[in-house]
Amino acid sequence: MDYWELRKIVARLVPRMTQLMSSNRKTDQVREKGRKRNYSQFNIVHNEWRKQERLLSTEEINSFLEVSVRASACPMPFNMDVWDGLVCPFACIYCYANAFRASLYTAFFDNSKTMGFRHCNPDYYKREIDKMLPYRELPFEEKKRLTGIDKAFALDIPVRMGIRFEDFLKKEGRDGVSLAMLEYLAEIDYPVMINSKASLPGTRSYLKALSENKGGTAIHITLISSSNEILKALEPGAPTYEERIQAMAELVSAGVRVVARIEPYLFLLNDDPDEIAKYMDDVWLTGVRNITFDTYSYTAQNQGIRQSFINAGYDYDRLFMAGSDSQPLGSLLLGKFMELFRDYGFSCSTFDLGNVPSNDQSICCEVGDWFKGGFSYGCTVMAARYIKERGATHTSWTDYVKWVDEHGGFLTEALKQEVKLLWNLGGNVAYSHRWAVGLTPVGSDSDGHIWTYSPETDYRETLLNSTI
Amino acid sequence: MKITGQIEQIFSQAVALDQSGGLRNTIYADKREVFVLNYDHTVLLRFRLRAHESPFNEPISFKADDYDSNDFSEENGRIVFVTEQNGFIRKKSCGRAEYTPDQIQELFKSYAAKPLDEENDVILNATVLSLLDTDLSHIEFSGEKGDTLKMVQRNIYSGGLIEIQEQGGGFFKNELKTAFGPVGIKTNDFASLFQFQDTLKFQFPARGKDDFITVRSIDKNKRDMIGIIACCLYDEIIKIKEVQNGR
Repeated sequence: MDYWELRKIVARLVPRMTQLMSSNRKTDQVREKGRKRNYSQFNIVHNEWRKQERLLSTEEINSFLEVSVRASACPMPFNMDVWDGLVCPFACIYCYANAFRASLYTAFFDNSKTMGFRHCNPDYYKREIDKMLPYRELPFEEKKRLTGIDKAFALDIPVRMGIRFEDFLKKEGRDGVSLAMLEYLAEIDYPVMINSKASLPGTRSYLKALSENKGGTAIHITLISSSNEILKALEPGAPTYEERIQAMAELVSAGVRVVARIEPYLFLLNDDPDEIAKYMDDVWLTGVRNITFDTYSYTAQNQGIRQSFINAGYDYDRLFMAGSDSQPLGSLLLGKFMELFRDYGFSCSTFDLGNVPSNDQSICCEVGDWFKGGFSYGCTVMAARYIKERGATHTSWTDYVKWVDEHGGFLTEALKQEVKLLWNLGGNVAYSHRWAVGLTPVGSDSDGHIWTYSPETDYRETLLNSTI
Repeated sequence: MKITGQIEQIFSQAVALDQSGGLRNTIYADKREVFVLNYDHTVLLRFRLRAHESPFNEPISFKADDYDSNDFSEENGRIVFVTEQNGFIRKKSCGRAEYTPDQIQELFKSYAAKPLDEENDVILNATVLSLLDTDLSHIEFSGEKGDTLKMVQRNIYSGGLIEIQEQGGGFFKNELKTAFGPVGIKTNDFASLFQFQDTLKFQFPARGKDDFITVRSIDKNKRDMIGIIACCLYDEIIKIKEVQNGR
């Protein structure tokens, strides 16, 4: 069964709504908690009124390096935040980060609405990273004894820019904060991977900083469709299709690994046959050979996002139910969708656990062959790949831990415990390798499940067949 | 004005309809008609008051979840609900709904005026609800000419298929005039229709003319209700369209 046959079947499972009349209305995607303003409270002990407010630094981000909260699943969980703001001007209607930030900032701070864009202080960042440089020179066994960001840095796990916020907005073009960081990373030859929708990284000074980094540089350029009509509706503030294609070509020419990113895959929306054909032709012409994909995140189940889709004229419930809410169905659709691109010649991978065993690269960001340093092997994506590579051989937790240790070990002890929980089908089910097709528990020992890989049956297809 | 407990029940219908997480189904009332419109504008219900029930002398509208008491009025463009209890008076005020009762009445008329020659009349009883899985989002309705109605629910989460079909041979067997469907209705919407009456008449559009389903109360003395339900369709389109009925 190919993608087009599957699409037809799934369309018969999840219907489209029609309306008696339009329900377009103002969205309240950014649902703010509404803290009190100018609020004072009488302090009985000190017999005085005290103003109750907590203020967010509107100028500067003070924390900058982190091991991602998704580290239990992700092999590249080393994040570097450079820019921040309450609302991203690209205004992608499928993005839940604006809603998340608004909820977070307005719940805890009284001045979040006036923050605009804020950024890190590059000099402060550089000083802090300078202190970590000696870790890179340690013997491997000593690196393994480090923990958290020190360990990630020592192992040369690429830092990822643009995870929490877009780092290449117009203001960056004027202020050059991300540029200063890229230049610094080039000076110390530290590997970096950017996530962006912007075309700015394809301009001269950024290309120079990226191409001079001997540690290796890569960029994920999110481009979910070749239709400007769709892009305008879904990403109204982001660069056009042509601008992003141009940036891809410039970056490839400068020797940067460019990975096109189709995330989110949206059932019946960004899967038009003609638009996909154009996408593949255009992206291939730029020299890009790698694509990473993902389904729509379950986190996107947000009333404001739903209404934004309806206002844009799209049936959110249908695409969400088929492509995300039903994890097996969404995963099966994505897997068949990826095959279209694979058949064209692209190397394709995804963070979607269901399809991880059939990824073309172990590192789902499609940079496993590009960076020469380390990755985080202590996560469910890598566990699934390890079990798959061993095929019919039984794989215990002890086997897996030994393999992780050979590659630097878990980044923290807490992370190890979290991954062990997932290994034994506990923890956050969304990131469990239970979804990985072919992975089968075949027994247990004192550490829990023993796994094997048997790809003969695909539980997603079994589920599909039971519904038709 | 003060309304009776029976009219209050109509308002509870508005809360029972699927609200898609929006909590904003709306109620419109004018003279002897009360309308309930759901948040996504896929279901519109019209209730007629009975002869002994006091009419709404002034048009009024509000969001269903704002409803707070059976004693309410409009003051300066806001709806005020009044509750008296133990010597205290509580007043809750809220905004009007998005449209006027006039606009909703016009919308209803535009659908209710459709000729029904090609419709398939099917009488369903609330007992059918016990055969359905209320955790599944939709029910798929279809049938072939001369056959009986078929209802299908598909579990896209853990697998499985529920098929329900009326057995032939009974005196009241719903034999279909024409083939129709598949068309879908949200399970919550379908279940909520039976809030007032155990037996309802559904009119499904003929195949190829899938636009909306009409549902009518059988016992009009108990409660005169007509519902218009926009069909959920199983094509390969993601764009939302308004029902095509020549408006």
